[in-house]
Amino acid sequence: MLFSVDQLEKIRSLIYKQTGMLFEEKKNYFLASRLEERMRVSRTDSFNDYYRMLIFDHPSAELKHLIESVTINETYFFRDFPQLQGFAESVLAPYLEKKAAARDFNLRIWSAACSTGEEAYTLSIILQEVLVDRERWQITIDASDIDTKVLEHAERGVYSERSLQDMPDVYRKKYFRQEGQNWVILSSARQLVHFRQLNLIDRMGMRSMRSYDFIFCRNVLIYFDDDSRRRVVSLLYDALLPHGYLFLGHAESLGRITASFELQKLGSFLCHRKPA
Amino acid sequence: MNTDEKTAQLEELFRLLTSLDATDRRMAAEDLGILADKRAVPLLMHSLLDPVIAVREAALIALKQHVFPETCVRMIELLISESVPLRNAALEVLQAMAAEACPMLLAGPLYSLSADVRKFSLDIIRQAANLSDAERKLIVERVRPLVEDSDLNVAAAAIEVLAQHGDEGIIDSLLARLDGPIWLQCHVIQALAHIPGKRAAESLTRIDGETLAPVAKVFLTEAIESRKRAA
Repeated sequence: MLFSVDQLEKIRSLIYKQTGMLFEEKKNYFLASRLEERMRVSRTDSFNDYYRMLIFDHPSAELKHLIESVTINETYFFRDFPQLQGFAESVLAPYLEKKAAARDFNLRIWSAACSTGEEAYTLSIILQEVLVDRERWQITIDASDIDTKVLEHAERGVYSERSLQDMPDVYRKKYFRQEGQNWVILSSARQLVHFRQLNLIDRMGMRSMRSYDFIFCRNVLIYFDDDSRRRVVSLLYDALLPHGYLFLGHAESLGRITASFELQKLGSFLCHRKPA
Repeated sequence: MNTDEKTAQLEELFRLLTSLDATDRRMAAEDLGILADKRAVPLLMHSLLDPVIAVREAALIALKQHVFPETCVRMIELLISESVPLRNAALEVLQAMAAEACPMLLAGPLYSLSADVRKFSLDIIRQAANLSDAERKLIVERVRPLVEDSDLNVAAAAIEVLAQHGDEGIIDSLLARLDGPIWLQCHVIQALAHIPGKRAAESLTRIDGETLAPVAKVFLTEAIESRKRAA
């Protein structure tokens, strides 16, 4: 099915308004293919009928499906290994020491835009490995995504070989059991992680996320324009504790967005720390 | 929301804007931006000096959403502030509401004794969009004398504004500055490349390249080529 530039522009604007994600014109092909798929599934023949459905039907119905189909969910365990290694060795260890010295044994981590859960479970595995006195700590890993389908996948905790491509063997054996072609995450890694649906530009929902020591929001902001990025980053800032850290993807920078964070270079990667 | 409810909400946000908790202050500034009520402007201006960067940034974004003449007046006052962050904030807010600020800037700050204020005013005027013909005409009329400004930055900014809004009537004023420094020569040539009409195009071809600095000569060749392509 062919869509006109105006039609795709309408869809782009609608998605932007709902999610803050900006699909550039060069992604028209991707957008058109998802749109075509959703029209087929919803048995709608004309664009105008489908657009009416998006606008006037109950907001949680087709629009939600369309957003789910265009949000990009590709991820895997231990994605960007050097950054995670830097987190574990250069950030987490001294951070935990300081907390312990202050007799504060609460640790809260948020995997924002967690997709199918690989990042959240990876963080759980890292914590199990780093914490020598695990039983003293009250740990929470919250993991959120706009897409309820990927959250269901994350809750199931069943992954293909591909998701485990960068997983060290020792962890694979320790935290997974094999079921046919798939790998199922064990409860030892699963128990710390709590999933919830959340739109990163939903101000009220985001304001309920508070007092995190670490926030991982990697490879998400690249899909936002500067305006939405600024909004999301200020909400992430609020969600952090003073001296808490925000981790972004390699290609992401806050340079044009805000000067609120202290930039720290740890080994080969940069991270952002909220000032006291 | 009725007037009483809005007033109550504003008062609560004003209270939070002075809270000891920086997150409360940041969120209050953000929410005041959404409400965009002119009563918030003085307090938000005060928050531009908050010790926490995130609060200052939120106040700045909120002020940009208060597109009122009152905001422009107060921000124009800040253009002469001794505090660099305040001055930069005022400039940023005014650029976000350039069309509203434009008449006020043309009425006074454009001829300020401070070269900085003259330059800031021109930078803001340059951002003004969707102007009527009458407004554009007024801009050209008021900005034209600044092409002769003794401060080179101001003169160059004035040329940029004229390139954007001007017509053939300003060509002679521009050509008169071709005897200036290289940087100004380049600005004049670029302006002539943008001004609509045959006369501007012809005036480019009549410039004697040999009298120009080598860099400006390159600009001239490119400008002539670009006008040929456009024709």
